[in-house]
Amino acid sequence: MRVGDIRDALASLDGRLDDVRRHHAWSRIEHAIAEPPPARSSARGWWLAVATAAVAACVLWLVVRAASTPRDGATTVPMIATPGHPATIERAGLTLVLHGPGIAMVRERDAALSVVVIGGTLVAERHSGSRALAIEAGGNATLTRDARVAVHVEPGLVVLGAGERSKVIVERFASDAVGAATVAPPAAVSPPPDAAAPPPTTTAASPPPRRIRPPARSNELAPAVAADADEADADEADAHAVVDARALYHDAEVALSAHDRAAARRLLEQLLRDFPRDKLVDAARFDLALIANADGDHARAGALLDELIAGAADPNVRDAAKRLRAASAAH
Amino acid sequence: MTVRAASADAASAFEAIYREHAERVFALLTRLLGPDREREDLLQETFIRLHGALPRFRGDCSMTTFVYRITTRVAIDHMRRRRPLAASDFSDEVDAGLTPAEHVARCEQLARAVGLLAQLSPKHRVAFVLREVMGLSHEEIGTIVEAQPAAARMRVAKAKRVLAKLTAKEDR
Repeated sequence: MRVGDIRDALASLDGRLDDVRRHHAWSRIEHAIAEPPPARSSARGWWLAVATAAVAACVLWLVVRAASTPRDGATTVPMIATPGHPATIERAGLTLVLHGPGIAMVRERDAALSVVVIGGTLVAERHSGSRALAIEAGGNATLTRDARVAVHVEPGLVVLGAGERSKVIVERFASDAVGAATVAPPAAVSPPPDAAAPPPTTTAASPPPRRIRPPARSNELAPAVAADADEADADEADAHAVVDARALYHDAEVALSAHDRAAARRLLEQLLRDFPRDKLVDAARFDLALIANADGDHARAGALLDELIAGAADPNVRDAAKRLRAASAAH
Repeated sequence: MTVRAASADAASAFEAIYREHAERVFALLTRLLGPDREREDLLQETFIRLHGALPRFRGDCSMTTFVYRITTRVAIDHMRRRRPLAASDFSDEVDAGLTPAEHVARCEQLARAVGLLAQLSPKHRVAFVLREVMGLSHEEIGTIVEAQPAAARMRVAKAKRVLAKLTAKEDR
């Protein structure tokens, strides 16, 4: 082999970037530059904040306790949890488990409990005869009689769920409760895109979330008293829907990364079929159009793009679909 | 594409930079690294780094040169940590119309070429690819690798000498 042969061999390597890979790379780039997660430093910062708050809470509690006796007979107990070492309290017919890193302050008065969750994931289970549990988190408060409630608090995010939703919250945020494979990292969460944004021009992030929000409404504690059965069923269905649509989109991305357009197409078509009102449908439709173009099925691509042009929620998506439609029409 | 446009409408300007250069970046990564499966990740890393570096861009070279500069840095970082490619990694690169024997021979030839290239130091490898494969001038190469054109010329020459020795040694 000569030097010229080496040169020719390198020149012959396929350095082309097809539309699908270009688009997906852009989705990830856009997401990364929009909100770059300083992973290590934020975890360190979070730890430092938790440790500082824990020390401050303990000192304050000791000082207050030493300085005065509560006039109303209430007792306050701090809960401090670190990853892998949850804190547990059983009081007044309730079992409270705090998964860390996190802090909570539990106050008991007249056989009633209230808890202020400063950070971490709290799971509360009621046993028979217990009174309602008051939960305060992120500046919001609620009173619950649900058999099982979970609330997760971290900087910028508060989520609460009862029943099946509480299980989703625990799975997402409480790594020591479930195991690493099912856990989302405590930092850096955001919901699925409000406007699904597959094309490069949009400002909403389209790829499946590194960040997730469980089914409960964000920064808002759900009304808790005596959950309605229909609402509980709808919530459970909603939890199922959000997880599955997102999972389908994520699996489709994985398939595309492995250049398996057929598998990606099947997953995205399933998403459209099973979750027609999900916020990811526009992204799925756009990706299917790209795949159809790559497969040479320009008629199918055109039909999908026409649907987006007519009905996509985000005007940026409609614009991108128009541009891609114009490019497809050239074939 | 000007970076002044980026300051006025950062998001769409950066996206335009991406659209204009993504193909070139991917091609350069392919020439430098072979059909490495992490090329797409490296493509993303290049543009993420580019986004961070844009505020420091003074317009003293073209945007393409600036992009290539970052691409070569990303590629060099990757060269230092990845495993060598095997002949099987080149299977997708080979024309499907070949006979099985031709297919295997071609994969091995590509793997040899990339393997020989990998024996160069990263800076000589970059210089060789930019000059011999991408066809850039020594001045352009110098700007990309932040060296004088004469230094770029020397690196290309040394790369060719080393490769000639390696190929002679293999052929013996």
